[in-house]
Amino acid sequence: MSDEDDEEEDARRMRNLNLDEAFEPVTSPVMRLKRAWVRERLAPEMMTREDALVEAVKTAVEAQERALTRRAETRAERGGGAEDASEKLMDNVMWVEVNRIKYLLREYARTRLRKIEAHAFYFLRTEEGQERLSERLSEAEQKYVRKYAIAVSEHYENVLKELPDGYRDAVKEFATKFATDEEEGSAMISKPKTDSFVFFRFREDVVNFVTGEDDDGNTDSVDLKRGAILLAKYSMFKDLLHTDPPKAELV
Amino acid sequence: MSTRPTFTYEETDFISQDILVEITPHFLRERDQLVTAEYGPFRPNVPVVVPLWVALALKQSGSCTIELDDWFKLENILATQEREKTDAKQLQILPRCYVEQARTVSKYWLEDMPQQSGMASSLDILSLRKQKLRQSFRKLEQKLEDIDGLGFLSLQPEISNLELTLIRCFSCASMEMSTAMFSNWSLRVIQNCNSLFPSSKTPIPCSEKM
Repeated sequence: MSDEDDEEEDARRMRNLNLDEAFEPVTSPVMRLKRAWVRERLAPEMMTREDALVEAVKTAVEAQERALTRRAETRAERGGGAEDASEKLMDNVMWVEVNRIKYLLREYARTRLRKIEAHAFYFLRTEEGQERLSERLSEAEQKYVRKYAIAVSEHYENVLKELPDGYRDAVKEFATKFATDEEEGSAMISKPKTDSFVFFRFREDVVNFVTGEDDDGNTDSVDLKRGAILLAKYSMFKDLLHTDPPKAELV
Repeated sequence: MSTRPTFTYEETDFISQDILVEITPHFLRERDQLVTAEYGPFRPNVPVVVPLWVALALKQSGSCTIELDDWFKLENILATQEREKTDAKQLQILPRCYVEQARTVSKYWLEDMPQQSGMASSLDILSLRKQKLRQSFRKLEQKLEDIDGLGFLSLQPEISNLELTLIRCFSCASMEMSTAMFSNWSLRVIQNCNSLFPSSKTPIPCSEKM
């Protein structure tokens, strides 16, 4: 009796931890895009753009919009009836869904653009940034970064020309013969803070995950349980976000 | 301190509205293919499982009633509230989006709900849980942690989405600040100061579950 109770308790606990697909349907591209958006929003650095997902969702939404418009026209021609009343009801629901999905698409684009704008000079002027630019941003986003950086530089030129010599550059903190090239080149470039703290939730047990290594070569490792929530530096567990299926997620 | 990106209430509502709920439709309709999935068939007085946003959309034309989840039924929620009060440390098991669900159901299905105090209890539960979270952060503050050593804090897995959103800005910013303060360099400075001015507090490794 108590074993059955324990099992039921465990099953309920698992369901409530919302790691099971039954609780929230995640098979469709829209749900996967929603998860991508949440991840993008919470991560301090750019994630790889989910081009395939976005295209699939856009195509599906456009097709649905056309179908709904056609149905409305057919209904207008038919002139009404009981069948039409329930069809109209469901069409309202479908329009709500279309609006939700369009909001999601726009939010995803907005989140990415916000991060791109914050780190525009990082992407263009540092080596690491340039790698990220080609790996994780789409063609359109790369063009946007370049144009944005040009626009901001021009704006700064207009504003900063009133300041004394040495303080007029958009990215150099100050030009002095004592500063090294590296310091001069990147002092004011805003880089993504991969050491910032985020909440991780683990979708699978991971045994002996190495968290750090000290100077003597000793490694710290930790056992991670499914469902555990940790507040940690993004850099510590970020590799687990990209496994397929992901072993960790940001909450 | 950096400004942390976190979700607004509208966004947490949007995210939580994909959870599945049971409704009783008042209309007849065969299965329909929506973009995300197929739902139906809808038969009068036959319960069907749909996402919360579908239930809301149908409710607005008066076409369905919602069935309350087990946890939101009055006797269960009062029992959870009691357990939250008596257990000073452990958060009780509740669905991840319980606040958003309670708010949505109470806002749109008020006339269908048998009694209204389910909502008041869930708000009470939220404030009890927030208090427990605050206590655990306060305990953390009292120990000088070598956070740089271990590098993470674990939270109870029963914590819900909204509670995480509420504590996100504060907890992430304060962890960053304390990591910066207790980096090796500053720890040596503090230890030198300690040797000049001995105090009773000593650094303890940060490994305790909150």
